[in-house]
Amino acid sequence: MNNGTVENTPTFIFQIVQEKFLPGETVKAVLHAYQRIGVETSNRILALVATQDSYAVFSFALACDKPRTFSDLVVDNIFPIDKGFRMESEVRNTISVLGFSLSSSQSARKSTFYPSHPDDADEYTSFKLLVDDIFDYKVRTADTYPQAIVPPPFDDDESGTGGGTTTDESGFFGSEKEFSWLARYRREDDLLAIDRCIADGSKPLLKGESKFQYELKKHEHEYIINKTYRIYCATWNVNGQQCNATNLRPWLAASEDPPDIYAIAFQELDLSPKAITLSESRPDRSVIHNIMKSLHEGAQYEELCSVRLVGMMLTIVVKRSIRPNITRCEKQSVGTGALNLMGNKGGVGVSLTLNEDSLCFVNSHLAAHVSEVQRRNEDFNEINRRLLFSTQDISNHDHIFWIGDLNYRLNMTSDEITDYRVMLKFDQLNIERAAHRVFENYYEGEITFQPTYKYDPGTDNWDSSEKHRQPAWCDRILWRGDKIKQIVYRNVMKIQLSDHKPVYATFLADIKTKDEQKYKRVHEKILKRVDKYENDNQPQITVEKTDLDFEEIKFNEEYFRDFTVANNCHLPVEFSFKEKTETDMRICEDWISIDPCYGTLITGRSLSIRVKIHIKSETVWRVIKKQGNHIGKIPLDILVLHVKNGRDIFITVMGEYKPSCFGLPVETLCCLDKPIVDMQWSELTEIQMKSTTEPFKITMPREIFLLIDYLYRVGMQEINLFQLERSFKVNDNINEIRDWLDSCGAAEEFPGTPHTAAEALLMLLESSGNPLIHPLDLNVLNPDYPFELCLRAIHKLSTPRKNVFLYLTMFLHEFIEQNRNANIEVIAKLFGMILIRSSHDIHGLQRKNFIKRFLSRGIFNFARNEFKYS
Amino acid sequence: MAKKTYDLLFKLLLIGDSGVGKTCILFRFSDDAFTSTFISTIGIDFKIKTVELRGKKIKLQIWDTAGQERFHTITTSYYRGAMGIMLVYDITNEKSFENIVKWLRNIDEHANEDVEKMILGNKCDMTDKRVVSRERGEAIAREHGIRFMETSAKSNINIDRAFCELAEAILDKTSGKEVNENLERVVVHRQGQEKAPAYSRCCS
Repeated sequence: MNNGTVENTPTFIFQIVQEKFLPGETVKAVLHAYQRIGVETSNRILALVATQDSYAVFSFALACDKPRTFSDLVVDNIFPIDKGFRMESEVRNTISVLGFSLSSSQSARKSTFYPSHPDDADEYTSFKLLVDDIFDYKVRTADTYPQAIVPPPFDDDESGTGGGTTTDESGFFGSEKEFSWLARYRREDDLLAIDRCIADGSKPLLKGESKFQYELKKHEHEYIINKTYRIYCATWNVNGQQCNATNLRPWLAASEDPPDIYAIAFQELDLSPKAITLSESRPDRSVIHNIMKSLHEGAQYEELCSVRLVGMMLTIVVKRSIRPNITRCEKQSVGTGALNLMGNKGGVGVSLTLNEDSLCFVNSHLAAHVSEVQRRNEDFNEINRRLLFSTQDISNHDHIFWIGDLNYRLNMTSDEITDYRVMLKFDQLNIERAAHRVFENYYEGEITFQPTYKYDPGTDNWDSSEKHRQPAWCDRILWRGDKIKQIVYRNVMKIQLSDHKPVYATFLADIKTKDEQKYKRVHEKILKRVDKYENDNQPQITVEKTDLDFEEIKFNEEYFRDFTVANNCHLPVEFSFKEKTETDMRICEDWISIDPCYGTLITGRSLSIRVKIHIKSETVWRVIKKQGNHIGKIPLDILVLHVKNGRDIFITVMGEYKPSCFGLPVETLCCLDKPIVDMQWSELTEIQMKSTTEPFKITMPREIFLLIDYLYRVGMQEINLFQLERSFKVNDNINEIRDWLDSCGAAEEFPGTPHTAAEALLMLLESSGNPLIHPLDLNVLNPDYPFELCLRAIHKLSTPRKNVFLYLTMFLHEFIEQNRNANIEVIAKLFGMILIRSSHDIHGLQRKNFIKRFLSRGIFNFARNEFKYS
Repeated sequence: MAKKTYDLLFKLLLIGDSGVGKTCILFRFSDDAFTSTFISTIGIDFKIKTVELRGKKIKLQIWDTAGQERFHTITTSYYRGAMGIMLVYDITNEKSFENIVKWLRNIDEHANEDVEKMILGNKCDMTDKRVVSRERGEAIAREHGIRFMETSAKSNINIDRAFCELAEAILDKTSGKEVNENLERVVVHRQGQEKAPAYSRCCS
């Protein structure tokens, strides 16, 4: 719970909140609250802040539970007390407040808070009353002073908000100027600005790459310039005539300046049923060859691509010099003829990217006949719907040129009218476009040429056939895009091959182009920004301390230290303790435990981590090895606290392991000349080294002798003294026995019971690095091995080991003899595991049997002999 | 399609005794800033910086290590992935210079065989407190066939140059392989076995 987490005195909090602000910005009231973010809660401090003209409620997120300085407070949200300001309680039946919400015209959404001390209604009530008073006062002053006489004349006249000139109803009440001081606390474009959605983990942080693209787009205006390209569009319905020998120059080389891009459209290249049924899609090379011969002579050209569907063909030709600027080119075709499928009608299109803009050229041949207006509109829609390029449809392009035989006729029956300007009024395309039924958002230049259809081929005469077709502007060129300017729009009367006249139009189009130099500069700048962004957006975690001092550590006792990790960055943080090396996969020593060893913290949250040390018999020799001959505290372990996508923090576990008989080799114990409790590790390591060369001071460790002696005296009739289940392992009494043994306290009375003494004996035997019977030829474990040779093996052990073994087995033998409840199987198994260690499972039974051989027969004579010589 | 932010990713490591200025060097390089208050690095920190070398955008991910003795064992486990290592000593601290040999041994034992190395004698602005001459620095670098520079994070001397030169040396070895987004798997191919003992005079 969040209750009472901020225990500092109110005045202190008041002070540090005040330090967040400039002189003239006064904190009037403070309220402790929290917010719920998903299942988590996050503490907030709300502060009512006043300037001369305005008030606002600030919500601060806390970097740690108990903020100590103003830098522990991070502005999380600001609610200016303006006309749209609301502070609304959720009160249900009682006077106690469940929660309340804050909103303001300037904050995007309503935020819900809960008071941290719901029982202490005063803090909340007084805060709320004050806020309400201010709001009422502001409303009143705004209302009672009609705008005309609103007096506060602002000193500088530059602003229109001053005096009676205010026209906006929000004028006095929360004008922008009044709240301009808040800008300092809103770090809008700041890369570090807290994005609440990122902080609470509901939205991922932009990765470097996406951030880079985002920034690049944002700064586009700094390096994108418009470059003008000449575009030449041409369309001709050839009525099935061979046009590969026709001189096309009047149609294609009619512009003054050489165009950059040509879009040349043909219809009815082939009217044969075969071409229709097979959906001929191979571009007509002979026609293209003729095109290439007929272009403007002022530049070198190359064919970019051609797309054909039956009679329709669209060829894009570009100036060789701009070819490298075209980074993408795709083609596509759509049939809208019979069954909405056949290619006798439909459209073909080319989509390309030139510098930073996309261009689309469409050549379409729409349904014929005067009456088929509706059908032509549908064809147009159908082409728009079905002519799709890999990532976009026609409408997504920056520049679109739609050309072709659109087949719109004149809604006119009389042939009397010959003035084409009058005739244009009856043009179906113009009528349909004016009614927004087709070519929405497209432009067409003014038509200043006579209808392109229908002529007697070879002449400029109107159709003289029986059908006596009405003239019409079937062949048209339209465009979409604001940066296109048409230069000319004409037909070519001279070319008389077909019943249609060719049409062409030239344009100037502004194409978005990267200014390479500017781009380089912006790119560099953005790289820096993104580097900074990435560096600043590393998840960070604060640890309360990096040294955990355990001071003195004794065998078999539990110690723990707690420390806090806090997330005071603006990102959610995942942390875990990491394996130290590739070879050592542990996160800490075996005798240390960490809880929790991983977790997630959202902004403003902290967590307590407990590190525990418990040195048991299995691990004590490792601690002794670590302590070495160091006197005093040493770094016992270094924990690596890893922050995902961030840094690693080393946490040093410091402490001093106090010497004890547990864990020491029996040889060392036989060399001691004073109680262990009085010894330093330096002395002990020295003794340990000497123990291999110098004679032992005593024949067996006093500690073992004392324990067995005690058991022999008072424990012989004890029930369940030695059990496989070691229920006395965790027992405070063990530690009292430890201290008694370490101080060699024979003078004092034994502090334990037979059961704890037995457990202490087992622990003492199992805690040394090597087992008692060591080294051992594993052959002796073979049940068929002669017992004589087993005795030989014992004979070969170092004197202290041998003596302990003999003394122990003699005691156990005696114990089994005397105690009616003693189970030799259990005792042999228990001691077999402790005295002989082996990682092989099969040795389990063998170890038991080995010990059993000693326990079942008296080895008194052997022992007496051995003791004699030792 | 828009170009990638970078063409190559190099992972660099800063090592050296405690207090020689590793963090300051990194801070100067990444943020172009300097602070004289000493805050011991207790762990492993990293920063990134993208540089352009021979028309290639190279993203440097630079790891700053704790220099304190007690962390030595643990920091060596970070050597493995490094493509370049800066060994830093302090020209006003004899011991830190003597330890360079020890750091070099650490590299031999724990780093990739083909890691690029560079020795930096930092704090070269503190001429009145100098105890390690430039010649001695050069000599040890020459002896081990490593690049050498004297630097000052405080006065911003040779910091950018040192990183760029180290990056360039790594670039020489990469066989033009474009690196994928995966930060950990950066493969460096060694081109020539023979490496000219490259050290350079510096610090104007």
